[in-house]
Amino acid sequence: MSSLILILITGVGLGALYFLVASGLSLIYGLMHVLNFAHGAFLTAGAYAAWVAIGHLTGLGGWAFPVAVLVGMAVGAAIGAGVEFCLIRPLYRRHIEQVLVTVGLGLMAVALFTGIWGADPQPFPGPEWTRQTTDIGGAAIPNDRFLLIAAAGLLLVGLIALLRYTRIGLIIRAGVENRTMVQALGIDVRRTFTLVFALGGAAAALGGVLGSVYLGSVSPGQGTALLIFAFIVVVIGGFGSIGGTAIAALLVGMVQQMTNFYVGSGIGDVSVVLLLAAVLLVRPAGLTGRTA
Amino acid sequence: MTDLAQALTDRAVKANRSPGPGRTGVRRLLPVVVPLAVLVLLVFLPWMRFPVPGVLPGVVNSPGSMQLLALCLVTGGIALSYDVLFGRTGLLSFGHALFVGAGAYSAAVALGKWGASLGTAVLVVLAFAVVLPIVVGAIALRVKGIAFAMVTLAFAQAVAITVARNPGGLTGGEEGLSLNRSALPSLLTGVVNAPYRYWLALGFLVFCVLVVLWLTTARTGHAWAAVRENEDRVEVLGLSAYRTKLTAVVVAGFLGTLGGFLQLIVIGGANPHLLSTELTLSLLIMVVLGGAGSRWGAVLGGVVYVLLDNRLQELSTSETIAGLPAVLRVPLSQPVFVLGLLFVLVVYFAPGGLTAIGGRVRRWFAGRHAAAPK
Amino acid sequence: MTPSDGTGAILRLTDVTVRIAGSHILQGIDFEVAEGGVTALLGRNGVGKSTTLKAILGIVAADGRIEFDGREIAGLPTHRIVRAGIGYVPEDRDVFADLTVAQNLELAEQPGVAADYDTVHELFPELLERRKQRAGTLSGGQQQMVALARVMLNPARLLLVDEPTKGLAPKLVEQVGDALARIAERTTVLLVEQNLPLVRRIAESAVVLDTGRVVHRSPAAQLLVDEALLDSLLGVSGPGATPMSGKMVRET
Repeated sequence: MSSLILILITGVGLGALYFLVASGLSLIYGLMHVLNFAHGAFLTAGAYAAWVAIGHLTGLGGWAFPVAVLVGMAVGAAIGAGVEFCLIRPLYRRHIEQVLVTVGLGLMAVALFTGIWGADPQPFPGPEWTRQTTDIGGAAIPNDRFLLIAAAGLLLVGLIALLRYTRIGLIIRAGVENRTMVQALGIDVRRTFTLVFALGGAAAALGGVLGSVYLGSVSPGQGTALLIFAFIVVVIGGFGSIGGTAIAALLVGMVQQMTNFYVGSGIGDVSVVLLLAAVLLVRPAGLTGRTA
Repeated sequence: MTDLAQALTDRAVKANRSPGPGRTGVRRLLPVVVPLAVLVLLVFLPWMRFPVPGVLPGVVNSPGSMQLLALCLVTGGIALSYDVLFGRTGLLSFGHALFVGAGAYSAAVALGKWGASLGTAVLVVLAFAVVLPIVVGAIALRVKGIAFAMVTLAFAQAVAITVARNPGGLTGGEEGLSLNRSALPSLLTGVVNAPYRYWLALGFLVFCVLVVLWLTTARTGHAWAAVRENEDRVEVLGLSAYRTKLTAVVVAGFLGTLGGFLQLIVIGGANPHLLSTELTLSLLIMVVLGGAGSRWGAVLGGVVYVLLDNRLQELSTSETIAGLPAVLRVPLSQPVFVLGLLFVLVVYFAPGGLTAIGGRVRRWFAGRHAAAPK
Repeated sequence: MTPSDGTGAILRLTDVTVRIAGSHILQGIDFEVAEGGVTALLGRNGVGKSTTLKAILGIVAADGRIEFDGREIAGLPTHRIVRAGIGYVPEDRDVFADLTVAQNLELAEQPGVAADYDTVHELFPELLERRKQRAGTLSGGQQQMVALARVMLNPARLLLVDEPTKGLAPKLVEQVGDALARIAERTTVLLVEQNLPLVRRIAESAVVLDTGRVVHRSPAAQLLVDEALLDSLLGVSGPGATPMSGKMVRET
């Protein structure tokens, strides 16, 4: 029983991590039809930024970590906005080139991080309490999972509030449905694009930082590794739908954890990847519906 | 993503278009004569002893240079196989590494773990080369555009993850499998026999080029181009879009799998990188860099990519780089960074790739000739 | 904004060409829209009427000159063209299904411009009732009202309206006709329509397209009484005929 509880909660924790990374990806593709291969770079950049910050903020004691998280998110947002404004926006309407550019950027970023900090994982010292465990129903759950779940929950609430109660949110929701019509109402959607990229960058960075706490280390390739799972979540959950992404993230995280545990290590990873293929083959509409 | 390759290949094709009916006599033969001359040159390279500083690590026929050139040629062939999908037919695939890795690993396992003879291993590779693309294509082509790309990605990743876990100790996990050289003819093994591996690689590239050239000029190629241009209207022309695309996948997969086998022989081992998304993306870079859909673009892109990658790695440990300020030194010491940057620049400023730039330079010279007073 | 030139044309297209996915959809369109009243843009299915509207708005890339109020707008981003004073009612209504009626209208509001909800509620009282209803659950006719209401909120100088009566029951066609007539009192309208009785009711001029070119220009009344001409240009035999339904070629 206790192992079931452990698997369930860690599955939710993994789903939370996926949601953090996938939410931005979903909004970006839903609104802009750009398959952002540079998303992993936002994630890793945020993680490294937080890592560097922690190293410099030792004087702040217990506050070092939260501040570092904010630093990471700010860096992620800045890079996201910068990438969109400088590199994606000039290619407006050239969807094809936009995707290629994100591919190139993603590769460049990994190479850059490797050059600066080396290819090996660097230990990422999360706060002491994240390494401890809490007992729930006989299972010892590592506290970092709760951190992930809390962060993902906050992000979910925040995004839903943004989408439902603000004009920007209205524009995003309308734009996901029909970007051309939004323009035809005289609204400059491009500014919203930059915002969405910034939001996505911040969320990815948050995922990167907390993911590093979860993994215990930060490495140049962690963004790319997580990216495929983020894609899986977005495909299953539907592009542009935050609720769908949340449910899909939960589903993928749980399936992966349970299969890895009960069937065999690694089989879970393979199965969710194949789940991607299965969903696409059955329901490709979400992807091909309004592509380019 | 038909639009994707459409726009890029349009530019590449336009840039490479011959200057019209004005071409007389000798000029018309150039597209045939030049490649043949290059081929003859390539065949005789192993007898050339001069150095090419900055490009090759030693004199041309030194083992290190021969090895590098062999890798260039094999990669050129694999890049061409990817171009069949992307540049000619407009199919964006993120899973091409699956074929390359299959070719390498199937032979490595057959030769190494099962102690098979070379002939048997070749048969195994051929079996994979035919069956795997058919299976993958039949499933993945049920969807189009980005969905197709993601399905191919999923398949490749699933296999990559499985191989990395070393099921049954078969695949060597993260380390990969080294080539069981005792199964190969002695002509192909050993440092001193690098030229023979070079000729084998050249033979592979020539084979790929001939196959693709033949198909491109035949009805198959025209069908591919029609699908690339506008898939929906292909049915009106009496063609089956599905069968056309499947043919492309099979041809590309076949050549790609063979390429993987060649890689195994040239490099001496199979490793998980051959199955990785990074490999497929590097193929995409090569093809775009060289000029998607153009006749020689993919091959050129593959050769340039491998050379640059190798040279940049040399450069990163050299003294010139060490002397630079960190802001320049760090990025330049990473070949993938430089290559990625080149790729992004090409996408922005020269979407037709190197062959298009070459075309523009050629036309600029021709223009200067024409402008000269009689 | 520079005043329109002496001919009174608020919109002028010169040699406008549009290529989409290898097809030459518009092959050099030339025509003018006089200021005030309704100009009907007619033609069989698939000749490029909707594409013409989209070219004016910058939704599709076009070569050639497009002048609005004397000012060149070809090549400008869509939102700037719209802000310059052009409104758009698209062929498939394109209301945002996930948003409520009120939210659909709210999106159309422009900063610094007082939105004219009074006229909207006067012409379409149903929209006031169904404020909080998701637009996706509305009937076709109600969605058309939303699409029309959107452009009525702001003082546009030119409205591009694409087949507003398509698929609507006769009573709704009347209602749409009333709304358009009301709109035309204060705004120039370029109207793509297959419904000839409606065209006869409200249009002053007619421009006919065929395979991407303009083949006829005249006052609307003149065209509509000429049955032989109508038949050759549009394949229908007069304002009494039922509007053509169904699409044979997908218009982009």
